[in-house]
Amino acid sequence: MLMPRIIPCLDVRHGRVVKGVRFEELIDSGDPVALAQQYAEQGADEIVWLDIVATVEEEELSLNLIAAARDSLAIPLTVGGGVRSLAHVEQLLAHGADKVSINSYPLSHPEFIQQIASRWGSQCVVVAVDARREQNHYQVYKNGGRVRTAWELGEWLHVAQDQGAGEFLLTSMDRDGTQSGYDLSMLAYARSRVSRPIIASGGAGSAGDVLRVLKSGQSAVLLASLLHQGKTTVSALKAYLVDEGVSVRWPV
Amino acid sequence: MFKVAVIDYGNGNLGSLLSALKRLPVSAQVWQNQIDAGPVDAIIFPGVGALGSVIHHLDLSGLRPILEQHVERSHPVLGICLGMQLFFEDGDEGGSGLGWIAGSVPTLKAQVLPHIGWNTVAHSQGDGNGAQDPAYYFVHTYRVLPTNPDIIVGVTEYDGETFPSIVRTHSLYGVQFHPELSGATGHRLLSQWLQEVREK
Repeated sequence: MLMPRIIPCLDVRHGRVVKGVRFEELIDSGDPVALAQQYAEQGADEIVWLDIVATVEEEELSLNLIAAARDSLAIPLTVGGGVRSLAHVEQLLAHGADKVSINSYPLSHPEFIQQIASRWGSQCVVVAVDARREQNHYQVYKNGGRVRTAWELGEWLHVAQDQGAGEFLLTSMDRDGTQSGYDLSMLAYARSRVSRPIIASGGAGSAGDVLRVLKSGQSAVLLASLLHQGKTTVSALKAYLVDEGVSVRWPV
Repeated sequence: MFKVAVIDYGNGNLGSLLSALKRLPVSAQVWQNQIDAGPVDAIIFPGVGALGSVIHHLDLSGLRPILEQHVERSHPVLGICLGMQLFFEDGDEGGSGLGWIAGSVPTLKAQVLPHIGWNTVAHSQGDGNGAQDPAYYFVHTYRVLPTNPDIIVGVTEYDGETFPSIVRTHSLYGVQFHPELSGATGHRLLSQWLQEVREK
């Protein structure tokens, strides 16, 4: 039986883990390599690592950290952040990423998804989508939520799937950093539009929120501030889910 | 010294497998083409890429006849995910496999694909008591369908469909999941395979 995935997310800037509230106000919360390893030991099913680098020096630091994380991690590692070229994808994979997460660039260049998929396989492409509710629909945003795009959520998911997206990482901008629970209706809508796995992201404030999103039929969740702020641990969360009758990989 | 070859299909996406081998530890030699193909004790076919382009690369690089010789001599080969699917004859993904095992590689029937995540592997002859079965990390859209069901060692269920997740015949050992991404459980499986290979 396929078990739901609990996926800690590391937002990395200048070699440190940070976490924003509503896409702003970054707070330092640790060494990414050590944190990734700690999460894996506690039972994380995968790790997502997002790092936006601006300079060549930063890129080198970032790639070295990814390689260090890879050496100690025996679980899947997805890396993303500002990816906009096949050369960048190649470097991330060469430094040990198993999958690459792409977000803003494919919104204006959907064929980028297909280019990665045809070379490395669809399983390698995670399309990350940031969306928020507007009146009676969900709209896709880019550049860390700062820029509104012309894409309606369902429309974009469908195009990305046709281009070869292997899975989606769907963040609710309305919920991200608020710890007020996952956006269940947006996730259900996304599920109805595409047949790729979806990782639910944005809004986890308690173990109960994770339980609710899994019981609503989602099969993968992303966790950031809940873990970085020490509100719970991956192992405590998994023990709780088992107690509540959810079959997760626990104990590992 | 005991040495394992890892086939590179041309995309350099071997990081997690090479890291896993380093942790075992075992000495790995990456084969991109026939010039790399030195003496080894066993061969691993990694699990990333697309079937058609991989076969194309094996032909272009001159590795295919070398690999066939190793199989004829019953040298141990481990196929991971796509690597195992390559052992078979035909795939839905377009084109033929290497044809070392009779059978095909159809698409899974599930609603949501690829099948991604941790799933349990039950012994194909066992009672399938799910709770104690080990879990491994899967990511795939295709499954193998061997002509001879006796080669199936382990099975896995996804969305109502049960498919082979471990096959073994002669010196070929294939797993649909990724042991290199499957934590301590995957480490144990790789370590056991190497132990058996060493004892031969």
